[in-house]
Amino acid sequence: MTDRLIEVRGLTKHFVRRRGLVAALTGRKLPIVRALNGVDLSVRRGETLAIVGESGCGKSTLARCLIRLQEPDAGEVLFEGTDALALAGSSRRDFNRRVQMVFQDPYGSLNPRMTIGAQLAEPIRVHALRLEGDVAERVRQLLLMVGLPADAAGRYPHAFSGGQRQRIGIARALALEPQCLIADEIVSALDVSVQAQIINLLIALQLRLDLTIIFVSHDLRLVRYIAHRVAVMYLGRIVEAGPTEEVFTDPRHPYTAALMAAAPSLEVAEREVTEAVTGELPSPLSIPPGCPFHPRCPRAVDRCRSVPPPDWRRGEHRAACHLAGD
Amino acid sequence: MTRPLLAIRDLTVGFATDAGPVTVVDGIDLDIGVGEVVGLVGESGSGKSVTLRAIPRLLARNATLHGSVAWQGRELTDLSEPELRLVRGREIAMIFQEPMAALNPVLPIGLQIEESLETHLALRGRAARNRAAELLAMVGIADAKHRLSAFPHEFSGGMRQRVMIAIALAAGPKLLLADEPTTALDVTIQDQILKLLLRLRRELEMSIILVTHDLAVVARSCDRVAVLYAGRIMEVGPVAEILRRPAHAYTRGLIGAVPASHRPRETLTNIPGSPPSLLALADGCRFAPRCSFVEEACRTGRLEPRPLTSDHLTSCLRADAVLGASRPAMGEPA
Amino acid sequence: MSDVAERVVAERGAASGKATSRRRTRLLAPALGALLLLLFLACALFPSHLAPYDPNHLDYLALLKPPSLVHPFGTDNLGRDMLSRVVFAASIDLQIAIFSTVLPLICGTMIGALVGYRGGFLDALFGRLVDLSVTVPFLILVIAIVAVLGPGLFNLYVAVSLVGWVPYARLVRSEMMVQGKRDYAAAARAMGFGTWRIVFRHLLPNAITPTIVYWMTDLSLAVLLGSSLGYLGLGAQPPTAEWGVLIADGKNFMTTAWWMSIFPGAAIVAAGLSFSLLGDALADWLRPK
Repeated sequence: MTDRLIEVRGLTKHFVRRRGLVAALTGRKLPIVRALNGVDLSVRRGETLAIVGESGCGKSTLARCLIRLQEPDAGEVLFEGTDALALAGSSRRDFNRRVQMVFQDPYGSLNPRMTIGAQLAEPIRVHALRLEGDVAERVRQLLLMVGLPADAAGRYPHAFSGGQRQRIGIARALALEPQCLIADEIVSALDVSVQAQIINLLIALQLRLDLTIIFVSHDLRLVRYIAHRVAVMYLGRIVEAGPTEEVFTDPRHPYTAALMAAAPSLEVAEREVTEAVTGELPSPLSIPPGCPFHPRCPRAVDRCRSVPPPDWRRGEHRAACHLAGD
Repeated sequence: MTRPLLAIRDLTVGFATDAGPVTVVDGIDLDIGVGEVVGLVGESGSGKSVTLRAIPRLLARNATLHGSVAWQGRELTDLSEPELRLVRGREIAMIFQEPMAALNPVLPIGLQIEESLETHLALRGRAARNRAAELLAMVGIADAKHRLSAFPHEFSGGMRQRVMIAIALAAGPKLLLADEPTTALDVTIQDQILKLLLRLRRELEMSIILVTHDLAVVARSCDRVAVLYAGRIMEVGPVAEILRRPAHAYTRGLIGAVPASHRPRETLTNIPGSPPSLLALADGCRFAPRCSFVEEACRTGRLEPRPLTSDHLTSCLRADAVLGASRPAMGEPA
Repeated sequence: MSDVAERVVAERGAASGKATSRRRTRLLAPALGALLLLLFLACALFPSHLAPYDPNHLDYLALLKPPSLVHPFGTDNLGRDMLSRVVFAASIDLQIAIFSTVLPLICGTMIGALVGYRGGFLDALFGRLVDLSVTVPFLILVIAIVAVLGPGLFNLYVAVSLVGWVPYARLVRSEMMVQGKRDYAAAARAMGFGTWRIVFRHLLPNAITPTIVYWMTDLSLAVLLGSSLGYLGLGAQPPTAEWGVLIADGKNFMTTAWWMSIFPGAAIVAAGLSFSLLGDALADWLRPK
């Protein structure tokens, strides 16, 4: 379909620890971090897709594979129908322009030794998006677009607060005029009131620039607020995906339900005593057989322990659970 | 309330820095009752962590502390360091945000728990070991006896937090100070730890002061809450009441900044600007520069929390306007 | 995330007890270092203006004279004024300090940057090279090379450069690996920047700080090295005035004419101290805020 901006099929990425001398001699098996295990996803033009999950679920790895900061081991990433993974040289540079990323750490995502203006101007110059004489004006425009004063261009990152640095990060990503913006936990490190500013900014920019946004987060409240569709990840797989409201009001995967039960809301409801889900966060070093969630699942049956769950679907809503249809 | 377990009056904490003296906590009054969970909520620079650490006087060397901290009637600020050490750990215990930083990485956790038992309860040997295993089981760690010899790095984040709680509870304190204990944890683990704390509060009749930046954590676990901003208390009272009817512009703004599940599509409150620098504070309400309800009167004088009802206090001069604002607050139909 | 401002304030405050007096003492050290360096440079660049006599002028009437108003540092066994010799030697020692460190700095940085960013096979190879150079003590290696090539300043520079680039490369390599993992490096890659631009425009300016500070230490070590080799007769050759050579000249007269060795020795210490103090100040100044 032409409104599918990005299509991901069977994306797999495993990290193998390098073989030390001792391991090579004793023939011990190497630990493998299975970060992504066959991810299928599609992102529609102009929408906000949220990718939600806890530590170790692979959402950051997925985000990085989408812009090829990491190269996946298997699978396809189609951008506007073209295989993005096969691109090289100038067509790869072109792809870089179309998909950009804003990072989580406001203190590490900007070069501490370059002025803001230089960091915003550089991508414009490298990709020759403006004539040299127009670059300064464009930098000013970008700063205003994210709500920063024009004189910020001459200053260094350490002069700005966390929220302001995230704005600069957004401005930098927008400098290349991308079609798709990947926001990798961009507000997790900010104060609550500042989070709201950045989220509102993102929504305004999406409307104004017709951006497609992939919003990676662990915060379900923000996800419900900002996303049109949501994908829930667990141990490198998408366990449930669909339109946000539908997934939130009618979760079909026990993990999704648990996440929502665990997420604290402002409602001072009955203080439940039972934990939403027992057990520890799993490690991608050892993924349980069958359904990876079965050790912690309150509804697991025998089948779950040995047979990988099928894809249950209802319209746009899908879930990987044996019991989804009940 | 009957005589509170902990009574803080006019607590002020300042630091001597290169840039001059900075007052991080400026005149805080707070009472903690028996078996109560009180939340201290605020953003960066609000002074919530420093307030917490001022109670057992765990502050940096360049800190100056004024005011009164009365623990079960005794004035903690008058105690000498050796006297205070008898209180710390035994009567008032503390847990921190980063369990990996708070646990000794080269000692097995059993030893770390036993150290607390030995110091405060003079327990040694097998008695100490058994008690340590009991404590681990109490905080929900399976196979406790065998886990005593494990090292902190063998545990996941949530379990390390449980270990830290076990160490804190070893001597049976009556007050637990929790400094952002779940901020560094994932959602499902955060849920587990909060529920653990509530269960322990019930079983051990322990009071808890929970410092957090997340109002929702407060909603889920606290009985009362104090909202801090730039070193002052803006509002304090029962959680349900404050969340449903905030009587301070800042609280209202904070609530509005979090997407709520029952009105998911409503625009988030945009509180412009950022928390003020503690080096250059103006008169009047510290939130005034960012407040949408602000009036001239808000910018002068020193605003202290005034009672709205017997247990709900606010320092907002515009409390009536905030209460009457048209946008529905928590729990009301949209 | 929580109370970051408070913690920073508290931590910064904890380091300083009283604000103003700390600030004064903090400027004392670099000021001293700068003063000494200026003195050193002045001697090196304008020796004839500062030295009261010609360093090679032999005054047979003033042999082994102790320090006096006429000869502040005394005279040596050939009647040469020690002060003048020490001043003229400054230029040689400064030369040694710079030439023995700048080449290793540049080469080491280039190699370290490449290896640190690329990793992989190059890194493994580099690791083995480092292991090799670490097994043999630096001074022995340098002496061995000089012994093969013959004594003299140029061969000294060759010897030191052959061995001395390794610590620079190691420093740059490890800093590059650290910086390479930061998000701004990822952002640069995501924006399609080429390796050259990422390494030299983005990573290196951030990775170079510890290396620059190390270079300051290395400068003082180089002075020591040059003097040591000069003392052994393997560096500068007499009659060239070089502090190590001057010490060697005076070694037979330690009990009778202590001033022949002590003053050049003090000059070495002063030069080393100046680099060290300035290095500390530089480290403070360059530290990312």
